[in-house]
Amino acid sequence: MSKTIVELDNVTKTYDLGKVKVKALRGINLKVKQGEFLIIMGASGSGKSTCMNMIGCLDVPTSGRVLLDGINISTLSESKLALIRGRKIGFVFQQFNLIPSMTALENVELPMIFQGVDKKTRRERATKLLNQVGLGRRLEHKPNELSGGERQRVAIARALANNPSLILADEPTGNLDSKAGREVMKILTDLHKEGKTVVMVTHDPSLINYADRIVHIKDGIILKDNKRRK
Amino acid sequence: MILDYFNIILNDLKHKRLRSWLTIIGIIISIASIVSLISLAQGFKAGVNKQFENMGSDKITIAPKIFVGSSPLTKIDLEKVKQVNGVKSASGIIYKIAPLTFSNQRKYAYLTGLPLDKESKELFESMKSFKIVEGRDLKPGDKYKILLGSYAADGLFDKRIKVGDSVTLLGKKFRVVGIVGSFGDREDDSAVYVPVTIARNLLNEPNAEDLIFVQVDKGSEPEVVAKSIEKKLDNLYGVTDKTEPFLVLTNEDLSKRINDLLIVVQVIFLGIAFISILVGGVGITTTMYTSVVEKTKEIGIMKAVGARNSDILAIFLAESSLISLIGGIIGLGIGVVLAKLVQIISVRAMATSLIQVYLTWQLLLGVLVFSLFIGLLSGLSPAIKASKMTPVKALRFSM
Ligand SMILES: Nc1ncnc2c1ncn2[C@@H]1O[C@H](COP(=O)(O)OP(=O)(O)OP(=O)(O)O)[C@@H](O)[C@H]1O
Ligand SMILES: [Mg+2]
Repeated sequence: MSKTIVELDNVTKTYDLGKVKVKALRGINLKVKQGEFLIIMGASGSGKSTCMNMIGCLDVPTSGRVLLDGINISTLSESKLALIRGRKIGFVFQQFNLIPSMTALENVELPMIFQGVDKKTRRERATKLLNQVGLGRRLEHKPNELSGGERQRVAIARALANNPSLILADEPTGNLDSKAGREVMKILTDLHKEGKTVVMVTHDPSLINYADRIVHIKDGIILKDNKRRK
Repeated sequence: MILDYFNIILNDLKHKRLRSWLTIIGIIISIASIVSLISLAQGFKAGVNKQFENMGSDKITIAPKIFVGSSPLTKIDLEKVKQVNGVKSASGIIYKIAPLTFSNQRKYAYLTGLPLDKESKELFESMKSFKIVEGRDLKPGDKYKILLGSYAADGLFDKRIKVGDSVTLLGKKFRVVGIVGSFGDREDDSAVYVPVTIARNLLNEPNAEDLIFVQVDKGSEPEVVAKSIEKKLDNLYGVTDKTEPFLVLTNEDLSKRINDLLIVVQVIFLGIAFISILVGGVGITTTMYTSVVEKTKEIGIMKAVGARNSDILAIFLAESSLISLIGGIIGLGIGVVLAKLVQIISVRAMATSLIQVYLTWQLLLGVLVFSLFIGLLSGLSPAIKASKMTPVKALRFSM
């Protein structure tokens, strides 16, 4: 049995919109194990992204506990949490979320700035990561000078900047055509093979073959939690 | 770390150049006005104080409270003053602005009516380095003879006036007998000197004294003598401190009075400058709030990749202080140039060299530190707002 990295313990999340309350999560129990490739599936609005944000310590639950390496994150200070987020977790978003005024290189360097990595090391590592995702010739390009697939690869390089053990990808292929999508999936699979834990949200059933575990969410609760044998 | 923040910001300032510059201009204007106003006020103060130093401290000046119309002081007052204990000698002059005509040009000069007796001469010579550089001095018995200050002779009129030329003063022809060496001050150098009796006749004020100067006896305290003079004149007129139409001032009083006035002027200047910096600061705050809203998503991204609240706070504070510091540096330069211009214009147009730019490194450094401080202060509330955003909300934000 491998080690649990993140555990959601009876997590609920309610968004209070004044008149109405939206129950996005209604009691999620989930353990993300080290080395897994986990896919979260579900219809639009079922709570996938909310669940992902909990795993990534971007948001705090309304009730229940989120345990990161066994520590309840609600006991951690904001700056401690930011530090953990920057060091242990890499995010990949559907809308890429690159900083438009920065070059590919600068975008990849950004997470290292907040960890106090020196300039020279940053440059070297960012260049290496961009080479690794096949963008060695796009270092000085701004996001709007790159294709969607290239942008997402920059985002993956950025997610890897501080060498995190956990990669969280929220519909990383959602805005890409099938060829670019395959390239991104290839990179994620390679990372998984290297030993990284990957959690990916999607509602594309054709991607389930990449995973070794699939969690189905509906209306904020887990319907099915299946291990796949490859 | 700080340098890394500046990398992030500079990238960003380049992106929205116009708005940044508009904000910077606000700071430039206020810093430029602060620098020029303060450097001129300090220069003026230094100039005035230097003049008083030249005069010596054992003199007393009696002057009308209001320098308009005919003087309230008369020959009788002068005689009474001479009787006061501790007064070594006393002498009165006529001092008015009067039209002076030469080769069909009409200008204004400071008409000075000088008593020509020996005692008065000694008194005036001890007050100012009065030197004849051309021709001769006025002497007892002179009538329609005139001495010209160096600027009145050379500069006031298109043509230079020479000894032997004729000028018209208050409708009478005067012969120039001498030129006085420069005092280094335009106002003094614009003076023209005639015998006091002639000046009184022309002005039709046979008994007037515009200013009375007193030489205090060695061993007497100027302050004490001044008090006695004041009492004597008060008794003579049956007036009190408040209602008396004249001032009895020792040189120390005089310089203190002018310095007090200058402090008021400086406070007013600073008030104006303060309002303008307030406007500049509000400009920064507005720009920063807009910037925070525009960059909501980027704040979310940075937080997702590990930025702490304090990192975000520092980034936005660095941006606002950079804007303000750039404005401060440019404003400093423009302010110095502006003050120099005022100095040049005042020398040319107003014939006074009292307005001099006076720059100290304390002022320059102070202004830069001040603009940095303004940047931090006006950026504080937007920066706090930015740092407190929750990452998920910020990431969901779209414009
Ligand atoms: N910040 C928020 N404020 C209010 N409601 C929210 C917020 N975030 C999510 N919700 C609501 O919570 C529910 C779950 O949202 P979530 O984004 O987790 O769904 P999802 O499964 O990721 O959907 P999609 O596939 O469309 O991305 C939705 O009804 C959504 O409207
Ligand atoms: Mg979603």
